[in-house]
Amino acid sequence: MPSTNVAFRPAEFAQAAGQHLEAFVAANSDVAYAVLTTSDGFEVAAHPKKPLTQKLAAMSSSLQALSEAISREAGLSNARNLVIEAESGTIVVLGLPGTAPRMSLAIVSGNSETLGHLLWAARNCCAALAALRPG
Amino acid sequence: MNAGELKIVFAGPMGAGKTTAIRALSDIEPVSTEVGNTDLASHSKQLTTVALDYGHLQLDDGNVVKLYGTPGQSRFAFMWDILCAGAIGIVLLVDASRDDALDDFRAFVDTLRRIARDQPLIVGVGRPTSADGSHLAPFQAHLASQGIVAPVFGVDARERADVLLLVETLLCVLEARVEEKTRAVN
Amino acid sequence: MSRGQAQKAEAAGGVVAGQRRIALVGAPSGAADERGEHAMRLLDTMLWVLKGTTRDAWSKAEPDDADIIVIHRGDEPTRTAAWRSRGKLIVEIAREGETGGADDNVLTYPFPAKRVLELLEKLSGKLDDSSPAPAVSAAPAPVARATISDTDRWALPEALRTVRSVRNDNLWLVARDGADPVLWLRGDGSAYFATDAFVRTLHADGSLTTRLELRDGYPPPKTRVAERPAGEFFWFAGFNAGDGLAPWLDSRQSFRITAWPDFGVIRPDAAVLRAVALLQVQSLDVGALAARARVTHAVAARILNALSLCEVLVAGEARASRGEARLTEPRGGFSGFLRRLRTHLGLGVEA
Repeated sequence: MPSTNVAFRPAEFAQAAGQHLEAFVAANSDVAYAVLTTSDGFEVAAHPKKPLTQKLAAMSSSLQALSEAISREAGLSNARNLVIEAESGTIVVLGLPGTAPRMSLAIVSGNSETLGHLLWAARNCCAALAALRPG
Repeated sequence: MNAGELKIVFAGPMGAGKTTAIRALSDIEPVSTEVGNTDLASHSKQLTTVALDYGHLQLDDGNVVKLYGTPGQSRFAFMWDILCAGAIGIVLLVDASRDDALDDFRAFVDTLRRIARDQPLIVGVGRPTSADGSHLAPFQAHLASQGIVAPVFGVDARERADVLLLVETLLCVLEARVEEKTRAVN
Repeated sequence: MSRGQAQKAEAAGGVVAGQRRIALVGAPSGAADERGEHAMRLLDTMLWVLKGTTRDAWSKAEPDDADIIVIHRGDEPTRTAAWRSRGKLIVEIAREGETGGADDNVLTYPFPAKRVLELLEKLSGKLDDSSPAPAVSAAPAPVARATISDTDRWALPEALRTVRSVRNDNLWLVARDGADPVLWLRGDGSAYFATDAFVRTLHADGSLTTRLELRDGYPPPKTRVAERPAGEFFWFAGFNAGDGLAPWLDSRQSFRITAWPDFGVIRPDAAVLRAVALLQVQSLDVGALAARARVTHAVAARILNALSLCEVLVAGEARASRGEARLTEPRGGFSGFLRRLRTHLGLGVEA
């Protein structure tokens, strides 16, 4: 069963998103990967683009879905972000507001930035990406 | 895993009926991680599971049987390893009407042999494409070619009785193994 | 030899296919033997299942008109000698273990269809070497059925085994319940046609298959009947034939399965599931199967008969046991857990 990574969004959106991610990574030196993914695990854009980013796209969509599920079960509304703190770095998965079906941004970062700064920068990136979404 | 917690995994490609099968059995409303399918070219189903389905059976003696459904697409194959580890059995559901049904089946069997080698496997084939049962033959033949003896039954995952048949068969195979092991020890 | 091969042989300049007649003679009255009757009935079945696959066309006839006469070993020597003296070839049916024989035209029961085919082809050759075959009358002679037991409960299963081994897709077989045709079976053993009512009865009434008689037939009607997997019919025919082990199975032999029948169609009892699961995991003879599946000997035999007819039963040892997965032990142990899980799912626990 081949893992096809089909572009679902117009090519212009994917290209513009890729440019935003490139700028984001450039402005945040501790960020290793930034991956924009559909709700069902397809990579829309990534920087840097590597074979790994397709897998990150799938895994982050799973995490996003589980976050939303556990929030629902716990009676909390609208799960926003998931934070995974590892010894050597941090992964955050953020839902893109206003996108339907919901897209997510997954960011893999080292530990030099504070979590707060990372989340702030990431949310700004999300807002910019959401504003790009095709009409 | 805690004592008293056991799990049965429902695996198989997208649209084969895993979520439906768990819903038919679970004591609780199943937890689902279904989202919109953006790849309608590959499969016309509106929703797809991206992490897992979860249900459970709460027995009177405190034992809990967890029911997990895996995502179908291969990009979520990392979830199969996680979910199948330690399962008491795997129910593999197949949609016979798909053109790639046999390819999918081969891929799943290969994966399960690697990650769940010793766990009993039960195969349920849905959406029959023949009235004479010949649509089961390719799946039976593949198992035979791999030296695997496992039930392959024509079922409808929407029917609770059919899902129960698969689970009951799994329980019979488990009981047979326990019986054989007990005899070997004594 | 397949029908195609027979036709090719003919086209290639071999002997033109002839008409041959064969008489099946039951044991003289007073010497009737159940196993012997099985054997003669089996041969009768094989003759029409093999139709179209042999070089010559074989039809049944009275001894006086026949080229070949099939007798039980030990038949009256006087009449046998008389037939021989009139140039008829004699075939003897013997039982396993019996020794000696006038010549090598012997079928030792249980005999496979392949052996019968070889013998018929050999006899065709012998008849060609002697005088030309007598003219065949337009209508085939009536079968001497009075000499064959009509209550032979293994007739249908034996017929189905023959169908499966020959796989003659030029043929349709019809099963009748009394005078009424109720089932049409494709000659390759892949599918059958019947009404929904018949199928319901097949599942519910264990005596149905014991009443059926399978004969050479014709294709099913276009309406009223639907196609079904042949395995369903084979299962019930095997399961309901009788309480003992089938004549072709050895009670001392251990068996295991190579595959499962489609229980999605058959929907057997929990006891059957239990027994078949045991045969997946280990090799068992009928007695051990009964004990471990906690069923009667009769039920264990029925299950083995049905599995055999479905061609998923083999003799011998189970595969080398695989490593057992390390599993969490449930509270109260595995056996108790499985019982309680069954109860919880409403599957029932046997006494």
